[in-house]
Amino acid sequence: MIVVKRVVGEMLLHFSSLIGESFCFASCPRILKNNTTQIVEPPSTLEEEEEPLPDEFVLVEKSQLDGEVEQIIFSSGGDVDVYELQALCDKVGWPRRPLSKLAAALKNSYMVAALHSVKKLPGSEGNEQKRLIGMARATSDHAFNATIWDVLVDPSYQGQGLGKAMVEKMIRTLLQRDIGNITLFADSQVVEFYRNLGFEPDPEGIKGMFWYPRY
Amino acid sequence: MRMSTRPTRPERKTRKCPILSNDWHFHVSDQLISPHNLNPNLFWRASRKIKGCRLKSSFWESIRSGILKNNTTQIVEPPSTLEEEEEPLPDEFVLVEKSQLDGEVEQIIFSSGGDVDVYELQALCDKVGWPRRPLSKLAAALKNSYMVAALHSVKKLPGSEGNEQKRLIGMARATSDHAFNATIWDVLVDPSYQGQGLGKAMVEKMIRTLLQRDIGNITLFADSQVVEFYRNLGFEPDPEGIKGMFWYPRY
Repeated sequence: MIVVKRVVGEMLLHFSSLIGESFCFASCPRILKNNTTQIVEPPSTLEEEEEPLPDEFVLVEKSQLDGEVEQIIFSSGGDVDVYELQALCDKVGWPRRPLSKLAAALKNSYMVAALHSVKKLPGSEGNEQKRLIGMARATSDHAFNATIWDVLVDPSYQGQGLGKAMVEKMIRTLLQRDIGNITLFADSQVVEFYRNLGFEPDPEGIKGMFWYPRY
Repeated sequence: MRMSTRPTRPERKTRKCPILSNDWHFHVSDQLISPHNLNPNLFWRASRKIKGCRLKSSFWESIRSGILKNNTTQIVEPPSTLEEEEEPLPDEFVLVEKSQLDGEVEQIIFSSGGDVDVYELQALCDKVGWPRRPLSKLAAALKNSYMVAALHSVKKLPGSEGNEQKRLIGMARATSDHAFNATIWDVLVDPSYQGQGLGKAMVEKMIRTLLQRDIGNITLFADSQVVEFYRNLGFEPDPEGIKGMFWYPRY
């Protein structure tokens, strides 16, 4: 069952086909699994330059057989609850970090992107369940360079292309703000993941270095 | 699959480190350098203590020996108290002082207060051969860096009563989330002042300041020809296979 949804903001939905007209980069994920899942893409105009990405929009929408609708919402406004984030970091198995430092890190990041799952039952009239299921943030000098840190997605939501979408949206927002040098440090097992998003390790022999890493 | 870029890592074990000793809360007694003609206000006590760890005296020696070339050059170290934890590095202090035969005194001053004139910086970037960047963006980058370190040369002729010539001769800056990570960018030293250990000293002071602010993950991206320079300062490339990556680098 195809359900037409209005995206947050004044945007039109493009449903040219189930595959969807996609104007994002080649690495944009194909989230389509069945008839009840649609990609909701932000719009783009043909003539003018690309409009800035809205702060918040629906990435994926799923309708269950019982009528429950789940939306995965991307936001770059930094609305991340630090307690939810701590729980998410625990869930992916990261070492515990002090809550106050987590809060400071969020506050002092140039961009904080988040994925939230919002579940609504039909007829429940505004009763919705909102959960943080992904996050990524970037530090920057607001002019030349940005470095992406702490990319994580709830294990129950992994494998759907949500992490890729989140990072891809971050990149696009950074480029729109004319920040041309986008960097990150990738664990060896995720180097391929980022390569698929357009990242290159050690270009021209440039090495990422750490001061006395403790391990 | 864990699809995360790495947060600060757990402290499972400390690696043998030529700069940091594994002793904690210990005092280091460095050799005192006390030239006779130093202004008593510039006389610093020798011992220093880094919060939580100890920097081996050999590390400071290697920095000093790089700067000491002749009798008229003295290293002026920042102060530290014996009993308490190391006081925060002052925002500004004299790194090197040189007296010429004609009486002219030149001080190289380190500062981390961000007092960098963007026009001077542009000229310095030109001097080292870096591609031109828009002035407004340079200014924004300085304004939005967590730390901006600078080296200035101040020349005074005796009897000139306050007539001094101050020039920007080096800079380095770092972005940070103020909690876990910092990345150092744009390290440069005027070519006429290179080879004296000033760049090393500048980066070393930055590191110390960042550590004092409890920012434990200090990173940077080094051109292939300067990887060794940073290795000598304690940086390690690709630890545990972590790769620095760039999005569609243009070259």
